[in-house]
Amino acid sequence: MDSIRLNQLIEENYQKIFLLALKMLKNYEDAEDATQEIFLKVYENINSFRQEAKFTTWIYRIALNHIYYMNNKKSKEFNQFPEAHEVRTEMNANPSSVLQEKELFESLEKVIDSLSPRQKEVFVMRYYDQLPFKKIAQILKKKLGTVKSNYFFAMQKIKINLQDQNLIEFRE
Amino acid sequence: MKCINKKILFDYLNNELSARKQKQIAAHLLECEHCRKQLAEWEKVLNITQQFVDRDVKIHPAPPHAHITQRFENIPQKTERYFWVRYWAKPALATAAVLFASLIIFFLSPKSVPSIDRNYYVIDNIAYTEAIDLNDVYLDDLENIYLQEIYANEELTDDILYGDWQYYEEVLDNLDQDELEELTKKMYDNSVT
Repeated sequence: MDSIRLNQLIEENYQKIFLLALKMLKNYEDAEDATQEIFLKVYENINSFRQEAKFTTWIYRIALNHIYYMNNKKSKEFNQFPEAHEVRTEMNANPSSVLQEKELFESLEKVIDSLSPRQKEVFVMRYYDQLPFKKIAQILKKKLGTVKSNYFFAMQKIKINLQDQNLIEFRE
Repeated sequence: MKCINKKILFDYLNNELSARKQKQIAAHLLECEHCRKQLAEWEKVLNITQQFVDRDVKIHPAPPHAHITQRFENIPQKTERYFWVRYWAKPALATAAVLFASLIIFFLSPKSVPSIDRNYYVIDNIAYTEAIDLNDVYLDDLENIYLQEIYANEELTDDILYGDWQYYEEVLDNLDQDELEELTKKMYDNSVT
């Protein structure tokens, strides 16, 4: 693959991979380093890659492997693997009112962080990177139904969290 | 009329169902206040999440990376392996390993190898026909949430069929919606519930 085409493919995917790394690693600097390292791996191994149509699938697999490797390394160093955990932020003083956007988004940030790694990777690929379910299933080598279920449960967690905390108003 | 399973309602909102199912659900929604409310809730959640993601993407632009390959120029690219290594080495090694393992098993194990009693469920909830292996670590979320939900909710018990997974395993992945429906019908006819 010539360097112009390679640059183009990297350009098309850099932001997406960076966002995936950012959401999974929860740290801007780590995500920045990880993205650079992922694309270095892509560059080093580009000769073993031939089917251009599946470039996204290939690059996402490299990315997820690297991200999980970094997460494991981090958890060994700091003993803080980002396990799924329950998020319960403080209840609003006036639960029936619609909260300020900032507060709402902060709560969303927390609940997205609390998704299990499996749910989160699907959520990010779907919402942030806007990949179709079929593509996500190919990347993760899972059944389409499993991917859709992961996505549903991630969204359900978000919904329940918003509901429990009365962060958005639902009609009676 | 029975209310729509929330997973299907979610798929309806995401336009993930066949045109026929979308129409069926749209018709049901005209009649059912409860499902309309559920749908409105999901719409709200999806809209807010989308707003959050849009904002998040905006405030987290990718770090500079123009002409990134130029930065890697001094790093050598790995050369491709020989053709036969790429295509034959792994299968050859795998075959040898299988043969070796078979010999070991043949000589060391008792004559009858006990079969593993795998606990599969086939979930058919219109939107999906999916087999769940309860031993599969990938499906812990389903085990913890979906199955519990099913056990707790009698309405959903119709969605579970204990099916012939061996047959469906090969075909489930490559079905279009109509084929999946056909298969589902067949599964209902032959199922052991």
